Amino acid sequence: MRDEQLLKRLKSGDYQALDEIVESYTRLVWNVAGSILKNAASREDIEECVADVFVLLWRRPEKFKPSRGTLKTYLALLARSCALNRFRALSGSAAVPLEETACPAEDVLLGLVRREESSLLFSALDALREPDREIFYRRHVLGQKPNAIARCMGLEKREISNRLYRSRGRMKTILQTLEVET
Amino acid sequence: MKKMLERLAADADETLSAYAVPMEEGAQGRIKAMIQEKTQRKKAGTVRRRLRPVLIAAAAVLLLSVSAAAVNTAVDLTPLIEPILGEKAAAYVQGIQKTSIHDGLLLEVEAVYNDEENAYVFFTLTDTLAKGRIDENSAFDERFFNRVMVPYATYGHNDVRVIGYDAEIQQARFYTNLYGVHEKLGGKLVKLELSDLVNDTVETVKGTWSVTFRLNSNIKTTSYTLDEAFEGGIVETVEETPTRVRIKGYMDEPQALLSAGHDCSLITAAGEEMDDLDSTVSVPNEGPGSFEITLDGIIPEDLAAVRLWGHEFTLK
Repeated sequence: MRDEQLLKRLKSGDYQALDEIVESYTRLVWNVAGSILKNAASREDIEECVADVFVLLWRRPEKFKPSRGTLKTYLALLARSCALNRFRALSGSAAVPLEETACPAEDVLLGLVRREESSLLFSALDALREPDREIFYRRHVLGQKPNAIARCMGLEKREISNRLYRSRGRMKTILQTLEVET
Repeated sequence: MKKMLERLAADADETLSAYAVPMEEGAQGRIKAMIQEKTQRKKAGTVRRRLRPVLIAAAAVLLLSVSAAAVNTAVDLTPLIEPILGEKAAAYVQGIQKTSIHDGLLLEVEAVYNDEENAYVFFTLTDTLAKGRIDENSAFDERFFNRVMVPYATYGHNDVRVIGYDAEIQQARFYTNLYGVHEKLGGKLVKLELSDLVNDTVETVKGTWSVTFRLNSNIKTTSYTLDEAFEGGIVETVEETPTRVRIKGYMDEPQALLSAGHDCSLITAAGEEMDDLDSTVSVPNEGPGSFEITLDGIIPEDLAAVRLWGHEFTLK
């Protein structure tokens, strides 16, 4: 309900509503954008990227559909798109239009605000050692490509792919074992 | 796997804070000020960055006309290059052997491999004065002039990798990768410029070393038509270079691409399935639903089939 009220206020041009949203979600947006742009952009660029997310919300509030997810989830998805596009711009690749930002049913970030039924999975995830855990997150939560992950983490692209391949197999095995135990 | 991944994100917020650049004190205030400034602009639209002046300089460098003779490398680099580019690409490596010296530090560009989109440059740096200024951790404030990442050169050394070090002759061997240039690289003149040598043991050696050389124009992309339909789309063409396969097609539902990027497997001629091997999905400006899947760092001859979104396509 709060999201819908905020949306209504945004649509009516209530800047105070945007202020409240910025106050509540800047850290979340920073965490998403700051993970993707790590080692690829300056702090000023990350700050600008975070600002752009809220500016886009302000300019096009109708893009947020409360029926499809929470504002928090929408902002996380928007932050990911903005940051990935900025990364692509910095590396010279073609950008995906922000208009394509949506909430696909399979998207991992949709689960960002859901905390139920996660203990089993995180027990499995905790079994991964760093940097495998971070690589897994970057690939499957942030949607970064192996090349981008390599850049952020200062590792070889081939190493990223190999670690992903092994981690996915390991996760499957661990989950199967945990599910049998429970 | 998808269900697992959905669940994975539940605590992602906290986890991401560990992987992100820490948010500085004062950042929130600056972000708020930036938002205020941008939202007060009368003209609405997508937020765009200004074209940085250095990109104009980059274009100018590309237009330079300097001759560079391609010769064979003095050292057999094959054992070093194979792990990076694959076995067969080593045959396409072009010798350069052009040098630059400053303060007794000798830069030699030994070899380059390139296709139309990527270039890998292999080079050495030797301390001819034997002052111990080079070690296996040496790095640069690196600039590749026709590279879009130039404005962020302080981070550029992430892309210069040490692949060998000889303490006896105080020489380190490196490679760097040029990519993301919006024009075909074949035959282009490029300039490798390295600045300010840094390492763990001695103070930064201030200076600039630069070498200009021409990329190989003989490596062309070949393509063939596949035209294989699957539920929800079609795979139309396949493009190949010595180290890359690119598959192009269309999906009926463009939004499906947003979540379909990870479901790609390669099947080698030996029947081995390689999951998630450097596959990237991009959405080119060729109409809604079009996709390109690029498989980098592979040898097309070793590849028998590709499985995309559950559908297997035999390659020619």
